[in-house]
Amino acid sequence: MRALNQLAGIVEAELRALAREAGVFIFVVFFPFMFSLLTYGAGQALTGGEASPTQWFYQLIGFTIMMIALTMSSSSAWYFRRGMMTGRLEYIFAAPVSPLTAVLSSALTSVIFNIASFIVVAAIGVIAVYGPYYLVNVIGVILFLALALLPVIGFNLLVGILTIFFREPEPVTNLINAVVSSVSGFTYPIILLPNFLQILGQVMPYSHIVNGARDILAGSFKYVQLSPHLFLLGYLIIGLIVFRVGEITYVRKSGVHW
Amino acid sequence: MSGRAAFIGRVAAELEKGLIIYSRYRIWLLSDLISWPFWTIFFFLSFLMYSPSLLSSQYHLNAFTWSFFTFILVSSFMWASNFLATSAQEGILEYVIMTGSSIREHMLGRSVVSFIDLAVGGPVLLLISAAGFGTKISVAYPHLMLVSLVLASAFFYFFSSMLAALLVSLRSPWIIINVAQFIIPFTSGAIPVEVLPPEIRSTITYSPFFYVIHPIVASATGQYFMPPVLVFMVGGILCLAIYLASRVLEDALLRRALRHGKFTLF
Amino acid sequence: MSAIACEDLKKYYRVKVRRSFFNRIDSVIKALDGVSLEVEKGVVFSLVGPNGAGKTTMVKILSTLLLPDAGWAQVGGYDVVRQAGRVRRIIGLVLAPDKGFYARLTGLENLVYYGRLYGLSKGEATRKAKELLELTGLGEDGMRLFEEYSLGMRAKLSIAKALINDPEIVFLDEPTIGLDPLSARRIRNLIKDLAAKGMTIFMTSHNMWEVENLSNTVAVLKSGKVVAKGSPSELKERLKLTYRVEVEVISEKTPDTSLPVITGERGYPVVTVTTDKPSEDLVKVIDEMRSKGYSIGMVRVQEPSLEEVLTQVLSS
Repeated sequence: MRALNQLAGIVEAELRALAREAGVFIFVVFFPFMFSLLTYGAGQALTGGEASPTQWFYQLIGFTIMMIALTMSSSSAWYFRRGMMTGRLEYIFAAPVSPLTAVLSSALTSVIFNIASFIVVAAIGVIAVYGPYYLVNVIGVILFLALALLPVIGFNLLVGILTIFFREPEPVTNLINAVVSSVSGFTYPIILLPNFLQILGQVMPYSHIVNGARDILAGSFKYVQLSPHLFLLGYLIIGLIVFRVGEITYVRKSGVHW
Repeated sequence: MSGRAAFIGRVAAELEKGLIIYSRYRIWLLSDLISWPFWTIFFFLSFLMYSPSLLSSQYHLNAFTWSFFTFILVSSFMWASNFLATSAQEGILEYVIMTGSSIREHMLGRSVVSFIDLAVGGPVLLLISAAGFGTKISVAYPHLMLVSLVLASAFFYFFSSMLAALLVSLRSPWIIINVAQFIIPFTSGAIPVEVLPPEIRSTITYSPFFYVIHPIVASATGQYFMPPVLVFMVGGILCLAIYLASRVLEDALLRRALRHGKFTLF
Repeated sequence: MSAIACEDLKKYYRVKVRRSFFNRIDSVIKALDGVSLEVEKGVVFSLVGPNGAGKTTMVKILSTLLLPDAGWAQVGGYDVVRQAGRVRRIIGLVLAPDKGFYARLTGLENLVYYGRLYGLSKGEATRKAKELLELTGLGEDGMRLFEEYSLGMRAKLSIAKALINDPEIVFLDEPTIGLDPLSARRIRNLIKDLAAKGMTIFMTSHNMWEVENLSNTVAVLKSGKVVAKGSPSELKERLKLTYRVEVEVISEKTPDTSLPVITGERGYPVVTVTTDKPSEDLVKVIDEMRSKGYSIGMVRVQEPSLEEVLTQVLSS
């Protein structure tokens, strides 16, 4: 109960802070449109006007989910970084709060924030391409994402622990973001990639998430597509174990409890 | 010390500082070197998804490689604009102004990093394109390419100074930079003009950035949209104009900062 | 000629007060509301007052980083608005002691950087920077990255930076804030030395003991106005603050007197007088006790502190 209270407290404070920066929300909503329209324009040019709206929608949804995935994968790293820079981390740990609660709160905040932006982007995209009738599918995607994003929390925990040890999240998150973005088929089918990158893309959870979300929105999702996600939950378990091991190692190494 | 010698001393100090700080972020450089190939693949395929057959056209692969080269150039200078906001937030800018140095001189320290980014990132991109996609990298007019790169670097250095002065008071300037780094090159000549529909071709010539971005891609492909002399003349004039605009904006920033007692608005 | 002079300086800030998420109202803060001051050369001048009184605004105007709305100010004989460039050449400044440096440069590299921006050659800047690192007690720590510095080290580096251009006048905005006693003492000694060499120091501080010990002149700022000014002793006299005179009587019994008597630290009775004429009353008490045949032990006169001055001025 106490952990839940703490989690709610941190999430509320983080969301309040985010609410004061409307520019960030506008950016998160605007950026997928900008990117997908830019590539759509280029696609029109390259194909002599034969680029289709469904291709644009493919990239719009893919890019939006890519932003959610990248933010989620690095949210704890940035949480630690911001906390270390502002001194807030010390106050939170002095509360006392379990590091896991703090990290999960941060991940939950980014999920809420990004899902809110996804709803706006997906709703506009669905209306533009498939018509308002398909809007109900957005709800289905939200439910799907609630399950499918759980393995990403595993990644998030892993990156978070790396931040504590390396002190700088940027190089680590930049690298992970680059790999995840390019091999997960967010904005193009992964069959365009060399074979070994295709395998890497399928081993990670992201390509399954984005394909599932697209299929739900288009009304072509089959329940059998859920089965890989159950296996992918292994990432969450691995993340929790690594985080715990990292926590214990940190305490032993520094002699300081979090 | 004479005014000229003092100026040279200040510029040298800014450049040396920029180089030292850059050398202290070695892990960053390593991360960038590994990340760039993946980002290149991402952007390449995001564009070519619409026409995967172009992956087998050497002409288009070469042209698109140089498109992304211009993206690296524009992007690295655009991110230099963020430096001034950081400098203001860390209380450095006020002390720098106290020394009698100018914002433009202060920006030099960060711009040296942009030059290094381009000098390292550019060739890495060409290598990735050649190794990963089998592109035969070629430059149709090497001498014009050299002039184009100098012109574009000078233009975007002044542009980043100007942008920095505009963004310094914002809490999250990265949002604007993040958007602009894509919009500017890809709507102003980074995409080879010859692959665009005729109505778009003439439209993009209204963008002032076209005259410094298009020459890079065109020097590689050999497909200048208008006579090179005309392009470079307009590019040179625009470079001068952006230099003057950056001076005016820096003065305005300084006046505003002196009225408020701080460079940021928060 | 004064080192610093200003007359009728005014600076107002327009701010938005957030009452709720949607309700914001405009408000005006009078940071400086007609301040006139004069600071002699080679003195330590302290500006004190509560938070938000306008101290930092004053420092920023005098150091050319802020334009006043009205009035004029001169530093080193130069107008801070029209001759800002000349003012900047002759002053040193510490604003926030923990800010203003590149985290990934060492203390020495940061100092050399600023030295070169002031026009020193690299050799000169390095020599001067090393000298200042020694002077401020940073010494070998100058070779460490700024991001590894403690708050005290950062404050010392800030002062070193303020001196890199051999200024005539130094502005220090709360230079010892957050420092441990030893570091603070080192900074105070440094300020005394600089003043002894003829440098003018204009400082702000919340540490009244420090202000009292360092300053030749103190001005009290309240809501943007100077409400008291003078040397620490002048201020005490002017405000007629009371002294406490204590005379210990070597006796087992309470002495026969109409004055208040308390038991002292050594167990003897102590006759106490609260007065604004300590010398006269001390003699009177001693004479009275002696005339009654008592032996006098310890004698103590407790001066009012500058903190009491500030409290009285601000509460009046």
